[in-house]
Amino acid sequence: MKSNNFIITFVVLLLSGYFFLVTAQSDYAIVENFKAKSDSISSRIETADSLQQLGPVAEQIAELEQQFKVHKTLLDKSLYPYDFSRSIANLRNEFIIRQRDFITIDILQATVAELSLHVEFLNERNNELLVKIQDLEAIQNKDKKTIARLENLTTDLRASIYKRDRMVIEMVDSLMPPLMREKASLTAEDKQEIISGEEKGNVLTNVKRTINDNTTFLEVTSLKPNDLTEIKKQQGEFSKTWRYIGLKLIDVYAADEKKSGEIQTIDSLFSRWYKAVDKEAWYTIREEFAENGIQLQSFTDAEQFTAVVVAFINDEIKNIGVKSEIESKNVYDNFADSTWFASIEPNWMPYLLDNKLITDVQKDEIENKISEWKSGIYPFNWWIYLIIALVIIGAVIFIVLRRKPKSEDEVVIKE
Amino acid sequence: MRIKLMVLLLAALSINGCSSLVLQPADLSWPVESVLKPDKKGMVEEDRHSISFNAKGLYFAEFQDSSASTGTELRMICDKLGYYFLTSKNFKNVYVFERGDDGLVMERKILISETGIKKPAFNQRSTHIQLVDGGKTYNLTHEGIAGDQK
Repeated sequence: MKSNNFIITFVVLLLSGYFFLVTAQSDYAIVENFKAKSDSISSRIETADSLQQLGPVAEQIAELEQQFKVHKTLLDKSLYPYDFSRSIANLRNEFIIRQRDFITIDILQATVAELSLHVEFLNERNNELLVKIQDLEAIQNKDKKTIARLENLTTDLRASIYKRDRMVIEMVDSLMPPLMREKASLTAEDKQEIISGEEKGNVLTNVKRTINDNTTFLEVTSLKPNDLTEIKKQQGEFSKTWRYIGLKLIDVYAADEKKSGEIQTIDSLFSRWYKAVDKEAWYTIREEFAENGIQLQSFTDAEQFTAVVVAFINDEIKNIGVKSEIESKNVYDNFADSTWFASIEPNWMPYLLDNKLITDVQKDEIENKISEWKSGIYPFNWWIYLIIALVIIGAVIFIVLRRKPKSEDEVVIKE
Repeated sequence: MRIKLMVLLLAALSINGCSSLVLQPADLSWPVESVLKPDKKGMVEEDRHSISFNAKGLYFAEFQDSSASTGTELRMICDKLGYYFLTSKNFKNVYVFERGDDGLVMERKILISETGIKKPAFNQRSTHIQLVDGGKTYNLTHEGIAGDQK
């Protein structure tokens, strides 16, 4: 009985001691303690590297709420501008937003990895097609069958490169979730996520390869203005995505010399690709002249093109009378009728003018020269036209005179 | 007699016209104390209630040394009636102030401990300000210690 009393007394003393401690606590300390714990959870949410790290935070928020529920009245008054419930709700919102961010990142990284496999397959296929096209292009005298095969392969390769480009653009795009793009500066965790995504998809290497393949494709094939317009459009899309993500990647890889170098290489590859598209137009135009037996010096821009064409025509004008008339006329016909007016003027000029690759002044200069050349080959013989005109006038007068009715006097005399 | 009545009437009217407008009831209390750190010049700023004042005079009153404010924490709370209670570690007293025209005017100095308060903290309670010093608590009003010391 005595021991029971002792235990009861001990418990009462213990409880009163606890009560004493609770009542003697500083309200300020309670508020500061809540703030500190809340800040600590908030920072854990912000610095979590993965969903796994974020997981326990939900429980910590629930514990915080439970632990400080007893001080709700004090905290409601003290946590200016929020109250207790709002502070807990804010933590939960932060948690949900970060969780969503991680889920998006996981999905995007899975997308990058999946795309990487497809891109690898297309890389191999494109290589095979490029080699086949190069082999066929190397054949000097192509028969119809070979030309048809070459055209089919070129179409296949163009479609395949386009498909791969789309995938690589998607991979680049998937490196950063939308929320991350809006940030003015990336956190260490954001950078780590991007690096991990880049490594999974080998993105920088694939971007380099894509641009290189596109440039090689332009080098080994002859394309029409419509094809080049398509390629320019595709190039614009790729470049726009890269410009946006590439800028952020410079920041991400600021400390990595190798990767920084790769990013710089990609920038220079882009400018090489741009030049290759413009060069392709001039290359194909020269080829079209060559197909009609007109051998022009090579040119890579409008200035050179104008100079080469004008020089060629000047030479031909000088040679009138030196070469046989038939030969001169043949050259003119091949140049003007079969090439310039049949293909260059209707097909290439709109492309060149639209893309500001040539000016109206340069175009007019060439066309004036062609007119001058034509006048030399087919001179304007005015005296032939004069004779024809005189003959026509004579004939008209003769007819008019013959049809003139006889006068009344003449009729009377006859009677 | 009439003149006396008129003078009394005028006096009553003028007293009525001069009486100030009072909004009641009012609760001017802060829910929780503020812990303020004086700067080198002794200035403290309480952001939430937008109060700032120079605390050097308080330290001089307590320690006869205005430079004693350096590196200390001043604890401050306002009760329902609008009286400010201030103290700090090693202070013997809690100082009660009210708002004056041009600053805080001391209303009372409440002696708490001759050896100095070791770990002071103010709590807002419904009828008084509670001063906690380690295990001890004191119930304070602007008139002094309200309850028995625990």
